[in-house]
Amino acid sequence: MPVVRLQSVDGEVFPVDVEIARMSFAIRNMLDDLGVQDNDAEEVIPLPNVTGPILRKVIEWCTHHKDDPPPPEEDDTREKRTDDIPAWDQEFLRVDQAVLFDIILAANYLDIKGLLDVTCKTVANMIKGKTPEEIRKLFNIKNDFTPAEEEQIRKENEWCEEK
Amino acid sequence: MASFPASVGTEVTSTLSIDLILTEILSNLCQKELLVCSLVSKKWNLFARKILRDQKICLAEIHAECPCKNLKDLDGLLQTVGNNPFNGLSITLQKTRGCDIVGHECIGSSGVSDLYSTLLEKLTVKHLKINWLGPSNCPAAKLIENIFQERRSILKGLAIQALPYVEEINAFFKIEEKSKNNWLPKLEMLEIPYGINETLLYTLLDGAPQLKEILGAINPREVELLMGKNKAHLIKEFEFQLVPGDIPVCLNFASLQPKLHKLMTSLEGYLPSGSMSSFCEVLKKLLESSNKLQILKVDLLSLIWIASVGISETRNISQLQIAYDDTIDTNLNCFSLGKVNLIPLFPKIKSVIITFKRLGLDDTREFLPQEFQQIQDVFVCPNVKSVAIEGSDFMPPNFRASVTRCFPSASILFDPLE
Repeated sequence: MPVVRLQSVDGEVFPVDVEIARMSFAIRNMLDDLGVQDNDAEEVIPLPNVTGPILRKVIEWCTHHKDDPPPPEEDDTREKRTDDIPAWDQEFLRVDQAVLFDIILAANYLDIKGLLDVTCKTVANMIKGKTPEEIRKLFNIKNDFTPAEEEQIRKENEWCEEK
Repeated sequence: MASFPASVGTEVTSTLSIDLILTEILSNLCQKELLVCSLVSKKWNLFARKILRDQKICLAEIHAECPCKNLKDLDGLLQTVGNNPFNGLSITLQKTRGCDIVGHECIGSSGVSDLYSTLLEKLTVKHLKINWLGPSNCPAAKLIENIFQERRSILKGLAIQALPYVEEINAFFKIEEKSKNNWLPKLEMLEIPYGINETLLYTLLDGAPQLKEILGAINPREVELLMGKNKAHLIKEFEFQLVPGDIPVCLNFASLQPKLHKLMTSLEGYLPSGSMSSFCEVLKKLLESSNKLQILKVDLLSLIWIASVGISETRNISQLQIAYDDTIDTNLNCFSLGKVNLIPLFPKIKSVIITFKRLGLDDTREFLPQEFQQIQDVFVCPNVKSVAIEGSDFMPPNFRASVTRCFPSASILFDPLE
């Protein structure tokens, strides 16, 4: 199996099967643009936005999912499901919040749709059922509303038809 | 941004679009959760509300008590709101008492553009839901006409729960001959009212070439009409209240493999003359083609039949509505057929609604005391999170206890009749 070498921002180099690396559309485009052939095993692709430990996680995820069928076409963005995260992914994403966010950023930068979806769903599940104050606490967000602004938003929200 | 830890380092955060990721995360949430998120911070407010407007359906609700004044209040609210969450209106124009339409204190007949200028300017009505029972001169009715006549080109969703009979449909909607096949050019979702008349249905269907979903409690008669227009495959909600004569059309419909989201079926009126094997064939085909089915509404006997035919393809069902119907359930003594273990049938089920109404009809019925006992003999389902009980005006204490035994992890909501 042909291999490419991915280099993290901190200089760690990971040899990865081309087919697995190509699950990242960013890497796929780089390989295509560079005209890299399957036998250019020495080619090193620098990834200046991803650290070694995160890149290791990303490669682990891609390796596990390399034979997944293409995701079904989303025909409904109104009601997305978040209760369909496979058990392996749930376990894989049982990490510190900081690591989880780094994986999201890496999945976004590397353009790996499946990983971005499942990590964003994981964060969405953390938000579900919480109050605004609990959400702020969870993500360390500062409440920058004045009490009057907050009251106004509450009033506006009351107009929304409950489904 | 405050919401993400800085562990990724400045190099990363400066080159990546974190805003894009917040959109990606929040778009997984539903309307109610997004409204909560809009209270977190100014940035979250901006993102949550943009998602509500762009990706979801978020309607400002106008009530029947005084719709014209309600709209005026909304107009006032919008004067001060920079980033509103709405992408449409839900207008209930009138309500009924008995058979009569109840009037309201109307604010008069001024022009829509005078009364609701801010609303017309700031609210993009991509979705419109109306419940309009009879003739009205209220400015709220005029606003609906205004949207239909002058703003319909951006309508993406139209839910008609009721619309008075209109003699001249083309004149009412101001449809010109040349635009009759494209007068709702962007409409993707259409909800039709119960018992819609053929002319209105055809006018709507012909005018909406981009239609993707047809909702409402669509019955076999309407399926036939929609088949005539080659639109039956767009049906997402089907009310399959079987009578023996409906079997051919139901089988035809099932063979189109519609991807239903909601299916309601009842054996009321079908038994004892209808054939159970035909019923099962229709049901099995519909269930198998609808791998996105989320809501299944059945009477208890149908549920027991579903359990007996097996429904391996419908594993996404999250809500089950079960109707207790004394005319069939008790007479056929279906309780003796054994326990229904809901878990293998519906592994993703989260909520159950038990209704003491006959399906498809609004009438309630007398409650049989032994049913309180029977319910716990019929179901086993520890993974249901919520149970709602509807259609009765009282719930004896022993019933709550028996529901708790069937659904031990669920919160139980009892909504008594008024």
